[in-house]
Amino acid sequence: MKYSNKPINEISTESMLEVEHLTSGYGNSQILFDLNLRIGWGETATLLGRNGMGKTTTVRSILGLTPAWSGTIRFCGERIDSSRPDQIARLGIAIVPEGRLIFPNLTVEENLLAFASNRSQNKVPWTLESIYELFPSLKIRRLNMGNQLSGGEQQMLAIGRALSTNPLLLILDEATEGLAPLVREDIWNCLYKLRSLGQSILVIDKYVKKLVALADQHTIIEKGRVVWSGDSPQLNENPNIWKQYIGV
Amino acid sequence: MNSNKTFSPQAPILQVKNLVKSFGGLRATDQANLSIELGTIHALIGPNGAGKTTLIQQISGALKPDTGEIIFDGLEITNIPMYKRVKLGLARSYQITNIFTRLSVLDNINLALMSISGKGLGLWQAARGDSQRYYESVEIARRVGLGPSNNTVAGALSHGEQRKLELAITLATRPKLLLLDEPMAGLGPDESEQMVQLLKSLAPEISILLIEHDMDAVFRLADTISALVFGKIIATGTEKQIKENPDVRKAYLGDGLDEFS
Repeated sequence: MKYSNKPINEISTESMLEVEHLTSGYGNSQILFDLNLRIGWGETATLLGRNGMGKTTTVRSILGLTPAWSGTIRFCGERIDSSRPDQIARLGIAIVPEGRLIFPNLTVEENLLAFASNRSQNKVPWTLESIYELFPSLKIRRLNMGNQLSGGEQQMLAIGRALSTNPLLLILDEATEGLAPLVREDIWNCLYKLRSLGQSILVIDKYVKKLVALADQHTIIEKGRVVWSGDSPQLNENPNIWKQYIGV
Repeated sequence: MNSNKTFSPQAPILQVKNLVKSFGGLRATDQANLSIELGTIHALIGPNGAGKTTLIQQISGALKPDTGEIIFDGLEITNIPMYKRVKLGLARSYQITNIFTRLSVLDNINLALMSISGKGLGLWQAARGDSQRYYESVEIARRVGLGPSNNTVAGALSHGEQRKLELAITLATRPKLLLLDEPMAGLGPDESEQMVQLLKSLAPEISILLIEHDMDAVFRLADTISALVFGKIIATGTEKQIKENPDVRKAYLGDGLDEFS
């Protein structure tokens, strides 16, 4: 399951996702101010910052759920800042949303089949079988309804559902929220595995130390603006940045 | 019911005895026993789906157990309704935030104070008409760290502040025992720290039973920890005893204790 086969139209661009001078918000209140973000091919990137600083809004803007007011968002070289959420999803961005949002009245298997696709044109795409291999407990629960699952199983299903679209970019918003330590470990191991397979990932999570170990690039947001970006070694060298912007 | 009242200076604030609750073929609570000492913070940990919330719901009165006993403050409460338990001093918060988003911080607290005042909600009187109650709500807001936001509409508070408001509403019912379901959920590292300090400041005046997956918070807060697995309490003890318990490590903790350190 390697993601080396870039579609032809992206060869000219260096980044998979390029967000430039993005502003956005809700109603009259502006949340994002001139925000810049880049995610390279095969990269694992994070969005860091305190609650309420605009991490989820950034993700919502990328997905077209909270449309950009101004600025540009390019995905695989293509402008997506005025595209609809369904168009953006079809281009190959998948979200594991905060709160999981599993379809309660579909079975595990139906949740995994409803949006199954091969959007990255993977030669060895994620299938029902390979997702069950990644999360064996989902196979055991395959005929259970979405609302009959434990929190950990729901989270695995949310990740599995996102993978079933074979996304170019996988976004996880607080994927370890409400999970027991042992299950959090499973989720981290899963992310390491996806990373080694070359999956591009954008992750938001409160377990920052885990993120620094996992990810390549970090972008810290404060009040809707990027206040720092760099790689893990750079972040480790700057404990003041942790204190100032993340509160650890 | 007062005939059941037993007097003992060392009596636990809460005792759960052989509690059983089944949903169809699933035994969500399986002969659970739990004892919470007065003035202590007791954490309930366990895998997702182990039955932690179901157990809390039986203690709060949202669910009726099949068999077993719940004794609160020396009184058997197994079959008494939830609102009566609240008046006895047993209060509960939820995994998800429950507040009135269109009311101010003070009005949210005021409503909770009114609800236990015995005069009913008194919807036709000004919420702030009672000056004593007004000062009490100001004091509660200050205590949870929302003093500067007294007049802010609750919907405009940050998530961390909303969790504090929820705790304030719970405190307004003058609880002897607080049942907290994942109080750290959705909080960032610095907000978690504030919540830990806040909860610490409530004991020993108020005893606390909390469900939490944030082990850093659990180990810093809890005097005693119980682990629930498949509806059974498999271990109760101190931080050290729980960390070293092989069954708890296998079922719950794993080796993932390095997340914050």
